[in-house]
Amino acid sequence: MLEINNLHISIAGRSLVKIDHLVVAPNERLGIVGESGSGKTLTVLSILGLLPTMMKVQGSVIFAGQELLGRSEDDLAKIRGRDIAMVFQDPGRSLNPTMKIGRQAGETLRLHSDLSKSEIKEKVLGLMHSVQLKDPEKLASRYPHELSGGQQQRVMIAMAIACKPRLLIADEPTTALDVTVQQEVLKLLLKLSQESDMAMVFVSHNLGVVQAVSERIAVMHDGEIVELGPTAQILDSPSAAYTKELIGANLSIPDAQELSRLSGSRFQNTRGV
Amino acid sequence: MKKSIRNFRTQPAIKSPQLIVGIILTGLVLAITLVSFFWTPWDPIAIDVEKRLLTPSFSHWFGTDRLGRDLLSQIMVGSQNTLYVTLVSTLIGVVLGTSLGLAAAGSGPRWGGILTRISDIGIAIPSILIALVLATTLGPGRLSVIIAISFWFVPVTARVVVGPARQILSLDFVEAAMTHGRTRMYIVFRQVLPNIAPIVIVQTSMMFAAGILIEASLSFLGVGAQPPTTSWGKILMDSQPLVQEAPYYTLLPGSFVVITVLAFNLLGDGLAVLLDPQQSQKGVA
Amino acid sequence: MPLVTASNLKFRYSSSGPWTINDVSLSIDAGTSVGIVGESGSGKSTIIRLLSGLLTPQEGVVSIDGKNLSEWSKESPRELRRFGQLVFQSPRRSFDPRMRLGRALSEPIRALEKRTPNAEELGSWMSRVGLSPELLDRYPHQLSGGQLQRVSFARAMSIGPQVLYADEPTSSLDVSVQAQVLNLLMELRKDLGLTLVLVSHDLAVVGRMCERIIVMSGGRVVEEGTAVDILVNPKHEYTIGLVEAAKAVSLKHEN
Repeated sequence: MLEINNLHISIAGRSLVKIDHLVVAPNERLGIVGESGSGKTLTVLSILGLLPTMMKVQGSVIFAGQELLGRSEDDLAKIRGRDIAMVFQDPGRSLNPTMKIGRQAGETLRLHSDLSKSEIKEKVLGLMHSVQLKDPEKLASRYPHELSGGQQQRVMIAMAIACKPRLLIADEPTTALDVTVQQEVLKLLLKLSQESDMAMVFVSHNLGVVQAVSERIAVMHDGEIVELGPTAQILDSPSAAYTKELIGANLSIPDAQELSRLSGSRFQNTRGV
Repeated sequence: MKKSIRNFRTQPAIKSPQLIVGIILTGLVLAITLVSFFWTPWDPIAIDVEKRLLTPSFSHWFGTDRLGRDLLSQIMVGSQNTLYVTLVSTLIGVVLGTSLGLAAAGSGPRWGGILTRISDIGIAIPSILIALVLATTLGPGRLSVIIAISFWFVPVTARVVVGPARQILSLDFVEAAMTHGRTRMYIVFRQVLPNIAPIVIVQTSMMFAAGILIEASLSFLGVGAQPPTTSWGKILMDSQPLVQEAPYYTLLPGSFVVITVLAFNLLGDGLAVLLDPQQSQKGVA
Repeated sequence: MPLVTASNLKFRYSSSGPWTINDVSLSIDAGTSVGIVGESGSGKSTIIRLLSGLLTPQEGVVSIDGKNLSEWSKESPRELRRFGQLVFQSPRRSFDPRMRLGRALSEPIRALEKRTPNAEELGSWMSRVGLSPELLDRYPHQLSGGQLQRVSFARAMSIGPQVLYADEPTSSLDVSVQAQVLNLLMELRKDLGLTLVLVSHDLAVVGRMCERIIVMSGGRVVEEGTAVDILVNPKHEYTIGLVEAAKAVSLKHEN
């Protein structure tokens, strides 16, 4: 459904991203993992033509049989929000602070469908319900800053799925959230993707989070994909050196055994009191 | 190795066209002003009614004014006054305004609020009005103009400084300095001030440019320089009724004003880029 | 032997808003490493600023080595500053962008010991934290986040504090750099006999670095205990939920 070939993103002659081949099947959940500077965000931005103009993009991004690179802004605008939707990292900054939630959530519907105002309003409430927001009526009349981070992100997700896109791209959607909220949002994304005919590309620097949602993982480093394959395989038996490094650097919560080992070696004060 | 777009520069700051043109033009204007202290093509106050309103020629490059005085010499000498007044007003404005702004940013919400309200009042009253009031009380002349312009410059600068100063004060390195035991005064002057320096410098050059215009306007209205002292504004005032007869009489001094204002603006822009260490030094890959 | 104690602290930023710290009491023993965990809005960042004296509580008392912090402030403010130092979350924001690192590194010594350290002294601190003394000439924006954070440590350690308060010291850093920086912190702690108070939202970091953990939520202490108590046998409902969620979003793999 989405096929990236020979994607090359550069700025003033300096190469930023170089991807030979990447495919996303319909209804699949692909995770892209990498640290800052790995090019993962640039890659997904290029799909929707959202890269800064000073960057040069070459190659091919084919979505549902059509080439996306080089399309006019008007054409892309029709696809954005309707066929391909995106959720960003910091919902606080992606939401318009001067517009009420209810109105914003209906934006994509207003742009891409012929529904009447009341029909849109109904749909929005339904969407807010499906992203597990309590009291959608009340929330719809609030402003973004009156909502918690988790609620804001759910609103972003509601907006994204409003037009039933075939592909949802989520760029670090949980990074700015508290861990308990992260858990809920991830569960929500999984549920949404399983219940509908929607593919998901999930970008994050956090391996644990990517593991929780993706069936396949692409590990990116310095603009290139260094490893690609099923999640379990990549994480349990990584082949690329960088992947091993990344896994090793990921600190897990120590269990009882590790804790007793650690406390043995932990420093006890010798200065005296 | 991290590739960071943030560290990418498009060209070294020292070669920026604004800075170069700015330096050249301001240098030119300053040079002309300095020269005028020692020499002008003709005696600027020599009246020769027979030679009135001559168009520019080889002997009188800019022509002559309505009293037969050489226009170029007039402009040169006029620049002394204009630049002097503007310089003094700008200095007062920047020094007092920056101090006021820093004080407002560094003090708590109550004092900060009070100081801001005071500057708002200052900004709201136009210099021209103040100058006219002063002209009637103290009499016209340089002092009135300087006071009038400074009166406006101080709060404007303060306003420009307060925002960025507050922002800097909220940064972690200010907290770090406090944990090292630095006093608030120290932090405000040794840490905040250098960090807002580019803003202050740009503001200075912008105000200087504005000051030239204000001075010219005030002199145009007759409030500023009194004869025999001349200034660009005064020349423009004299030339106004003769615009159709002798267009050069207006255009040439007018162009001088425009070019000088442009020169200082460009200088300010160029300096701001040059002084920001993040932009003028090579970033690391 | 408690080195730093807080009794019934209450603090809020504005005079009529919600209490950011709502009746918190805790105590930190000399030479130990204590972790303070909580989600956003729990007050964890505020509490260390109260403990270190950067902020003054509206109610309650902070005691350092048995003496009231406000007395310290009045009698020997410099000693108070030398006692505890802070390291902040964002290394970039912790340094004056216009100051070269050599100068920045010497700030605490200049301010608190009233002397200017020489190049050798500064150089040795840089090596201590694994950086080349050449970097002393550079500006902050020329170093990576991980490198800058190391300089932060050097700067904080340079006056020999007894307590180091670290506010999310690795949260802004890349994953691959985090472990290195934490190891450095552990080493410095061992070598210099430091008491460490580490604030983090990351249970994995706190679990590895701290002997005791204090869990905060909504400006209060919800639960406290040893690392094992909190991570393996949490008792309070909130802690249980927190640990479960943290485990759910962290990497699970066969090793």
